[in-house]
Amino acid sequence: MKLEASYFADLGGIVALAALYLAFFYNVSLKLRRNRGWKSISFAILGSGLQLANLAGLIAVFNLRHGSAETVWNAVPAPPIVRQFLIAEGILVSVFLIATGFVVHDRRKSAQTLTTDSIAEAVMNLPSGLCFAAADGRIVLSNTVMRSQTMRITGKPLTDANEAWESLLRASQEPEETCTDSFLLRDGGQTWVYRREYLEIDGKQYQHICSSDLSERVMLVEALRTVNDKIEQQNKRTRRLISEIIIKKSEEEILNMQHRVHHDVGQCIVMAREYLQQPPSREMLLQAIQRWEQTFCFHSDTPQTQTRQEREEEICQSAEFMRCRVLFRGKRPETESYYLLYLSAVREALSNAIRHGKATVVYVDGVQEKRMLEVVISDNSSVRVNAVSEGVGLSVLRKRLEAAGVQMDIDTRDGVRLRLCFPNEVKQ
Amino acid sequence: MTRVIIVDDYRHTRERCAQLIQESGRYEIVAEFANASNVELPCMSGRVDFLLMDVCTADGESGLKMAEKLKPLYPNIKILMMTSMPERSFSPRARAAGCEGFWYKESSVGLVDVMDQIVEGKTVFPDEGELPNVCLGRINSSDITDRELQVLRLLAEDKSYQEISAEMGISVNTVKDHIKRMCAKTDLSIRQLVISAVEHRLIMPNY
Repeated sequence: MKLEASYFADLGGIVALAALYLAFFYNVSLKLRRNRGWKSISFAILGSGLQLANLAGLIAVFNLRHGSAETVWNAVPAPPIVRQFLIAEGILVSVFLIATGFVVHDRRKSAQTLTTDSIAEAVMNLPSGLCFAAADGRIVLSNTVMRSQTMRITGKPLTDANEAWESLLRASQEPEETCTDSFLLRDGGQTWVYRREYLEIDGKQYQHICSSDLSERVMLVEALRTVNDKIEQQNKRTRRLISEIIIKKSEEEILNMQHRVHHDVGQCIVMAREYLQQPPSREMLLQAIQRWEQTFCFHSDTPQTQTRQEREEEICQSAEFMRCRVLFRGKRPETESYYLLYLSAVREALSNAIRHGKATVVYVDGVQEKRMLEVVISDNSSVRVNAVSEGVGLSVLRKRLEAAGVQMDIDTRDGVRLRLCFPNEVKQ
Repeated sequence: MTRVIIVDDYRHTRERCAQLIQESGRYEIVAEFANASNVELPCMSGRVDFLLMDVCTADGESGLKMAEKLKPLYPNIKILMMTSMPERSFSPRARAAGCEGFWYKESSVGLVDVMDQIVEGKTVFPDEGELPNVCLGRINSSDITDRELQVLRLLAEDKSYQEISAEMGISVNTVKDHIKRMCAKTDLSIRQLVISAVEHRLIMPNY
């Protein structure tokens, strides 16, 4: 028989199909292991049957085209000894491949399965020390780290857990920081924490001793302590400086006050002397009386009032808590009582703008119009309303304003605007 | 760290309180105000845990009235009212408003100690003996009874005997009896007594 190119092509096809079949079978077996439902099993049986039928069909076609396998084999141009060698080699390679497959499969399986050995191996290789012992100290299980640490620190092998615990506790040299079930131990440059717990398994008492490396955490804690100490020192210095500043400021204020008292009272006395020496005009007398009143009201024990700037800054500071700015622009009422009402209106409008309109900027604009001061309080809120129902705050404000003769209007045409008209402001 | 706002019309008082509080290391002063009306927005912001508030604040604003307004809205904010005024009604009013404490600035009890107790969840109000005393004629204000003081307070508000009797639920004669007793004890006329009480801040109707 003469071998043709089509023979090798067909043979290659069969081998490729067989390889595909093996791969398919392997995947199906893995799937079945994970999921043994009837769908998976049906799919596996049907798929395998189809693959096998396909392979059998191809082999049949091959036989029809090229004769039986024996005929084909005999047609290979090689001496009998070479053929026998090839057969033997083929068998050996097949056995080797099958055996390798089994070994790989077993390894994979054993890597995924928990066994007593795998647990023992994991315990042995733990980076922390671990020891289980009976209540009388008899060791049940201990790992390499625990054994080597005990040997290195106590100089004795780990045979009795109770004795080893006592020896380690003595070696810790930190009795004041330790308690009976936990202590820190410095071993070279490392810091270890030892803990002991008691367990009850099947009615028997066991003790569980573990040691963990805390070196990194201890270093971090020490670094943090150093930083905290520095911050505390800085805080102390700052507090001392603040105290000094307050004292200096107080002294400065007292001096200023003394100077002012001296100056104001002195002026009053001079005016009084002038009046006594030559009685002045009525206007001068009124001026002198006013001066006396101002001086002695200021220096009496009535609470000191804030400046206008301080009052406005305080409102701005309050608004900042809600991330809102207040811009005071233009004129403010000159009269003190009007100014207080003006601030009350600003507070009320500000509160409403933040609460209902989520405003971030509130504008307070004052414009002098002839004998009247018009103040408009608006904001940058995007919330549009057709009408404003006056709650407790607004109605109380309206009453206070109207009682003082101040007109209040609420305009909702372009956002909410609170308009106040202070009458006779110039005259006042 | 407990976040504190101090409200007092005197800058020196605010600074002194802030210094004392900060030295304890347990509190953070987030703001200082002279006027009690300005604490509403900070309370709304949720960035305040503790209000240390004077009763009489700048521009005649009452810290007590503000506490009465704030407490139902922000019950988690602890409020300690303080005063140096001898007005006796402040402390009971603070208690009725739901404040956690009341502290007299001249008290022997330290401010920070009182604040610590309040933060721990206690309420701290002064005993009868801690109330500041002022001189009214021949006697001390502590010798005036609560009922007599109530009559005096209503007189200071320019109420007639009939109005006082209606408000207190007593007869006009009982009102007159109270007045007579006070005048006898102090050796002052009723007009002098009212003026003296207002002048010594035993009665502060505006707050």
